[in-house]
Amino acid sequence: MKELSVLIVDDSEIDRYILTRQLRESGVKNIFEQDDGSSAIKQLEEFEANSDLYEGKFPPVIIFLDINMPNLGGFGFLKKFAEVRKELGLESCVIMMYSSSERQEDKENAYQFDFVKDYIVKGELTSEDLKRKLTPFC
Amino acid sequence: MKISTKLLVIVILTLAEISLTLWSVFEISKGAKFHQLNSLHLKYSAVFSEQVDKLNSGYQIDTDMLRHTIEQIRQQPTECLAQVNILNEIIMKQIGTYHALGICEQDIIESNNALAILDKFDNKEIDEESAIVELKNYVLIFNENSSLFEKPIADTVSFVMRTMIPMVIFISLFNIIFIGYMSRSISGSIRGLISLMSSEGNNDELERKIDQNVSGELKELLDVTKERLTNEIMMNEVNEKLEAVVTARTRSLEKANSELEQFAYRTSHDLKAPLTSTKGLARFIIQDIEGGQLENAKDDASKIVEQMGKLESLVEGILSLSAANSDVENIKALDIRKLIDESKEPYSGDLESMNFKVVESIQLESPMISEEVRVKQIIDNLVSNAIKYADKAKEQPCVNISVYDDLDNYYLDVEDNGLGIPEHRQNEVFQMFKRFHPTVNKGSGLGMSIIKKHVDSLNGSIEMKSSEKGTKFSVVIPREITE
Repeated sequence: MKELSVLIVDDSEIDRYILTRQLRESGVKNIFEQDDGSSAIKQLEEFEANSDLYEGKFPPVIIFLDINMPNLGGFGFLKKFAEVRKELGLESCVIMMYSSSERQEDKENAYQFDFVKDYIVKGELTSEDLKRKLTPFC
Repeated sequence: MKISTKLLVIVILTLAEISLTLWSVFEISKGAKFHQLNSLHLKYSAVFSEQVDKLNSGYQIDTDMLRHTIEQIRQQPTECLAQVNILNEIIMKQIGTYHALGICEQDIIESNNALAILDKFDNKEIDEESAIVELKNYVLIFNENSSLFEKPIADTVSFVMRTMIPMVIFISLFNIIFIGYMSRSISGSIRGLISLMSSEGNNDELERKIDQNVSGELKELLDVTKERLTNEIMMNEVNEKLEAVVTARTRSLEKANSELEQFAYRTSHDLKAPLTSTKGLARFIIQDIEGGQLENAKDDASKIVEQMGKLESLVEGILSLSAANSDVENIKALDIRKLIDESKEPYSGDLESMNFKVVESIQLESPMISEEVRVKQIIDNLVSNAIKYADKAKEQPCVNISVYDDLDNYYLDVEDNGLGIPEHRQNEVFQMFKRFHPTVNKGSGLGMSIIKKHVDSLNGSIEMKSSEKGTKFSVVIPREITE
């Protein structure tokens, strides 16, 4: 498996922990974590510095994004990311929603952005599912 | 003068005019009747004279025929006297024609005398010759009476005509003028009122003018109209107010409904989150136990405990919120010091480890009387927030709690030197499920909205000042009004 880089944006420490462990089990080694949409945007904006810092590992190819977060929530992040993505040429970077919400409305809102490739409901994701979802990116 | 009175005067004047006219016509026709009676008298006198002349030519005296003719002669003055009334007598006396009536009476007496002569003749008290002489004498008397009667009657009739006709004309003219004046006065007052009502100017001035210039039925009409309009306007106002109330209610219901939807969404999300996390952790534990990684399993198990604690506090928060919505109303004198102590108790370990200073100042003139559950939850949440969001970068974390009162209100101030609330999010403080320092403490995000609901229930108010230096909450609760 290629060295796949991912970013987890979730305010829940425990959910980040669970996803991190599942990703590691699937063979992902480079995992960035942010607890809020705004700090995640900030990290992406500091593109050059981070590229230097994490040589070859930055930018992440997949961003796992929670919806309910205190400062900048998932949908706020998607709007900003749409701008940042063009500016910085992050076209290869995709987003997988990672939320406990099963509301159809939330799913529809997320899929309005073409770079949102998946919608994962927390608690339903098994390690096998995750491996299958990651295969196209390896 | 009222319009109805004016109309009544017009009717009376018209009636008077008509009766006077009719009476004049009647009196004048009576004069004609007298002339007619006199002609009849003359006619029968002529018949009588003819019959008496025939006696001279040697005819036998026919007493029945003569008696009949005399009775017919007597009939005219009798009828004439029957027609005369007191007013006629007064007029005749005034103009000196009253003797005409005397002629009538005289004529009746003479007729009776003539009849008595015939009676005597029938009884053979007098002979035929002397009877004829007597009867000839009566022929002259009757003729003379007729000619004497004619002049005073003609005088009387001409007097009546001379006086009555000008009087009728005069009264008719007077009526025309007077009725014209009355009509002008009626239509004038109506026109005046119309121009008054259509004039510009404020209402007070208009009412003053109306009081000065309008009276009678028009004033009544205005008063009734005014009352009706006032009622209608009042009804309209009442309706408008009701509509406004309905609109406001609808809006507040809509708001409550959308709050409720938001609440249900957030509650289900926040309740579900620890459960899904726990599910994931439990899977790991199974894997770890199977793989013999017992330390890992233990770590994840303690994470489950943490998640369950979070769930528990969330459920407690939701229960408190529903208590904040319901009517608690157990009003009694409160032991504020005890409530503050209870609020610190769950954090005694943290207070010690952080060297956290709590300053309490209670200066109440009289014990606080209020609903214990609400006041307790207000204090609990304010104090626990101050402790949970303490700024560890500061030398001495502390909170000042002060409770005091005046004649109207109780005051509760809680001031800390903690992390503060970011300026751009301070307007969200009292909303549900708002967390400002998620990394510092995993609260339910309900605490401040619980406080707000309790303060609202107690008709109080709460204000917040926050910066990086810390946060101050000031709660004001009005005294219970005891009746």
